[in-house]
Amino acid sequence: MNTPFVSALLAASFFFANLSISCEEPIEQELVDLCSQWLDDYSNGRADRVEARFAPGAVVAIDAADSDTQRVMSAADFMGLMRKSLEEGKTFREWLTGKPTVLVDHKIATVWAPYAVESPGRKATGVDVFQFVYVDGAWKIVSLSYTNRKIAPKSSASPTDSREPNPAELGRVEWSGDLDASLEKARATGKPVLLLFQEIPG
Amino acid sequence: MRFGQKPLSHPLLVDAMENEFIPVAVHNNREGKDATILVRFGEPAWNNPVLRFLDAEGRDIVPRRDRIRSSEDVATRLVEVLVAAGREVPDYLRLALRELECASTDLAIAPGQPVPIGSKIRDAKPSDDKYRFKETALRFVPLTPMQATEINASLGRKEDPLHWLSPRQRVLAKKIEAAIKNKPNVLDHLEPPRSTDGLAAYEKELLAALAAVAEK
Repeated sequence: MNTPFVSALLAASFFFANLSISCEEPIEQELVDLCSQWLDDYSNGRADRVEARFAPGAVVAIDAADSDTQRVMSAADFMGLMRKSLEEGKTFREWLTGKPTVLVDHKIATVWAPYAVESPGRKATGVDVFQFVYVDGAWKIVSLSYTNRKIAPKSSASPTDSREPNPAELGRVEWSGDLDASLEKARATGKPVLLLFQEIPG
Repeated sequence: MRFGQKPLSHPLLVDAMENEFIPVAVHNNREGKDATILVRFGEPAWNNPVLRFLDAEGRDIVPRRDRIRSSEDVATRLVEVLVAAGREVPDYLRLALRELECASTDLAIAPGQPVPIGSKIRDAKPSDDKYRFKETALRFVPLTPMQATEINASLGRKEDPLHWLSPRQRVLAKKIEAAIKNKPNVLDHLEPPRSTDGLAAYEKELLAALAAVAEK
């Protein structure tokens, strides 16, 4: 019999069922935030924090797409390279540029995220793939795989006319459509963001 | 449409927007991500074009202003923003602004001189057209008339003229120099235009010629 009390219980259980679904989203967001924070630590030379996020026995795989060269190393070797680079005074900044794809099942997770990296005179993009496992009360990186493709700096690039033609309303400027990535770039370069609001077709 | 064809296609303004700024376009008549940005910045949909200039935190560097329509308006705004942001204003952008101001007031001015406000200046005499840069690779670079004048004047003063070029033009100058190093006449069939309007078409022709040289 569906009394008002039972209806209320059903409604409540429906509410909590939905609540439990929505509660899954923060885990995904937490993982994305964790990747962003890790890249921020990596970019700012916080080697101890970078290292602490690796699980014991973690590995790093690099796919240098331009030269079609792949390399697999231990996280310990990766940290050795990072510390050597810091000693040599090398600077760079890496950040996520697109919406990451996050897959979670129980205590394992994958974050697949496009990124960009800039260092003096060099820019590159690629995809970071983080494999996580939840151990000892924290998400740890079991493996990091990434591709890397160099982008020629605009000032020294060969000027070509190969870019996709814009709609007439956008003129000949090469526009980005990603405001958040552009703000990140503004942070890295100090350049102002020029934001055009335009009716297309106008 | 005119906004796209004029200020957003002026070669030096395009170079300034791409090199001194991070350009982002938002459709003001599209659902989804663009509509969210419209709401975030309080911009109306289906509006005339609006340019906003933001720092890395997404804050306006200069107060929002409507009715920026002409190339001169846009050049003025770009310079204002770079100054407000404490960034260097490159010479090629200053020159573009000066040239656009002159065009809007029918002025022509002497190389290296500031524009006298409200004054009227004659057209250049044919004798002024004997550019010293015609002896250099720079003669094939797509230049605005005032750039050509300033470069000519710099060469006359034995100064380095490259600071008048945008990054894109510098790359072209290097490529031209490399192309004519071994074959001095290989680009002689090209005729750079005498007005800013013809520069985009000329650049296309130049790039095709440079590509043909590179293939040989």
